[in-house]
Amino acid sequence: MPRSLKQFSIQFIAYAMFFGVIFHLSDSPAYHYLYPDQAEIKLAFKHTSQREQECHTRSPEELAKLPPNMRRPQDCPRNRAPIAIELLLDDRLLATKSFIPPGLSHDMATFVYAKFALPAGRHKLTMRMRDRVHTDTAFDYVAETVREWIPGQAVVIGFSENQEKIIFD
Amino acid sequence: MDALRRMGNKGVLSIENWLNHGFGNSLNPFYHLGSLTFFFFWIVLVSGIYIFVFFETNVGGAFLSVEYMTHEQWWMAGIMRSLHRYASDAAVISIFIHMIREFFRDRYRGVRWFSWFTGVPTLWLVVVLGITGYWLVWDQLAQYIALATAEMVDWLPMIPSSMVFNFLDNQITDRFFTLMAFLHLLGLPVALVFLLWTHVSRISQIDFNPPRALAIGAFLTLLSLSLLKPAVSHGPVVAGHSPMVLHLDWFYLNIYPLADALGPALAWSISTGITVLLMLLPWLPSKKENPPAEVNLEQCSGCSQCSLDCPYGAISMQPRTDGKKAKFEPTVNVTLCTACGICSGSCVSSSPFRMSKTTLKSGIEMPWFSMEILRQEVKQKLAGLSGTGRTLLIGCEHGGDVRPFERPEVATLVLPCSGMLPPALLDYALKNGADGVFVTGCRDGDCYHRFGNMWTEKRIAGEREPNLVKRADRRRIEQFRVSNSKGERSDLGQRLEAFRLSLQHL
Repeated sequence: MPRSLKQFSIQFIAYAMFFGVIFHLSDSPAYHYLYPDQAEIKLAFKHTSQREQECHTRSPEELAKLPPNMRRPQDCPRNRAPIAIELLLDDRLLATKSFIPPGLSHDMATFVYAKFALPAGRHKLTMRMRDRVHTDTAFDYVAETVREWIPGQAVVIGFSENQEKIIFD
Repeated sequence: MDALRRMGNKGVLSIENWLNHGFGNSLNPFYHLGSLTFFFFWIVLVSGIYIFVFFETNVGGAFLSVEYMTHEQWWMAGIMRSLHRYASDAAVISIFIHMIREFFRDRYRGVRWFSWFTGVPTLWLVVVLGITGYWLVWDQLAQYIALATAEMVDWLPMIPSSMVFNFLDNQITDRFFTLMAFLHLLGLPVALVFLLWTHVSRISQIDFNPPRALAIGAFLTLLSLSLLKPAVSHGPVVAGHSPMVLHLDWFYLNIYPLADALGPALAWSISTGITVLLMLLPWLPSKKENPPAEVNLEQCSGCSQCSLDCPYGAISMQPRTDGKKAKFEPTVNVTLCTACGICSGSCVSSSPFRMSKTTLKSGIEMPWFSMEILRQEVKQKLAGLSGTGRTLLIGCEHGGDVRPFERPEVATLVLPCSGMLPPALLDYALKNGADGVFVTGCRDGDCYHRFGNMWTEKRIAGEREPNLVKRADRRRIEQFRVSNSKGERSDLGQRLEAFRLSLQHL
């Protein structure tokens, strides 16, 4: 127990500081993950991109040079192309992103995941995706949607492997 | 690094001095940070068990059960929930100050590296435990944490698939939720207990409980916090919506905004870099320590006092190997010995009166500062004393520096720790030219070697072996312990002068 005013004051200040630090830092300052006029887009899908090089059909001479157990008619390089994505908001570029296939030879299916904030309101969102090596800047898949984006709304953009198209949820 | 430590130590000493004025040395919270942390863990455990009774460990029921506790049964479960949260926050504060303090006081290097090294992952485990706790509420904050954690985990190259896909559109399953509940309620707490045990395994006589008055004060502070600002949840998870404003517990969740701002790669690099740096600190640079204690079996009676007094558990008693009557002999674990000399001070054979015509050997002593060296040094110092109020001023390497007080009437002696002082040396000094002996050391309750000043005080008071003989005139012995701050050294000087003056009237 404090025996003097000085002792009491010091103990009071020490406990008040302990109280104050927890009081404040246990939930503040507030963190604005999204601002009040923002919505969010999440790209999230798994996709196997095309091979970087086409398969090559081996000639009978080439096959003959190989050991019998390795005479597969086609020689397919394992590396797959990076997946390139562009997002346009009202026809203006919002973001670009590129995903390299995982694996030692970059030959596995790619998990595409990225998130972007965009202003709430009525907007046209276009997504373009390239999943093979091109000599030009063309995209293999393009999709767009026009909708009202509510503040805080989170829209997931996926890709259907069966239908081979981009899907807005 | 030395300059940084010295500067930080100054700051820590002034805060502790201020706290000593308010709480007294025995209740100074900075001297009980470890035991306070254990106390906070007890509050977390008890409150956690209570709220678990009402908690539903499934996605559908978790949020509603926490809401019930917070609003319907606020008078008990609500308070318990708040105590659970705030005691966890308090634990982070005490761990953090404990770490900073040990660094500035240079108690993390040399033999003490192990406690520091194992303490760093302990802090991480506490943080992960806290994060899983927030996850269990399954509100919008939990949704954010789940997704943000998954984003960070996905960045790690060793994970072949994607974890983040589990948390999009509220797809979390009861099975995954059960896993999280298991981690928070059992897996991580068990791991924490194991790590804490490892953390303290190299020190002896650990005080797991803080002084009662301090525990009551800390508990009442947390309780008033729980009543004034009850812990509440964020809103329920809404599919297709992201949380906008989050009231993060910055003690535990600070890594997520960092990852949002810099990306998972930088967040991992920063946190891993800081962790590795902290763990390597004891070797940046390492501490040069004196050779460990050595046992002289021919002088050892096997009384075990050195083993009882060693603050680091470096001495164990083993069956006697020299055929003497005594059953045991001390064995020094050189990897644990800090060469503080406390064992030497605790040995009954460490009497300078013994073997006065030959080389003095003690049952256990420091090879670089043996009892013979100590006796010779004291002899020489006493021979040089002149004038009135001739005083032998004994200090230690970590408390107030006694050397500036050296003059013809005052001889000074610096020991590695005041606990190395054999009580018989006081009597010896009084009989060989000193009018008085003034013993100082680290501040009470804050001995660099944990118990040195306490053991010395008890030995002089006759409460701990080896006792100071009854015939020694206690009026000629003074004890006053201070740190090496300028103000306290000046206090030491004043006390020394007052003591010397008192000697002249005896």
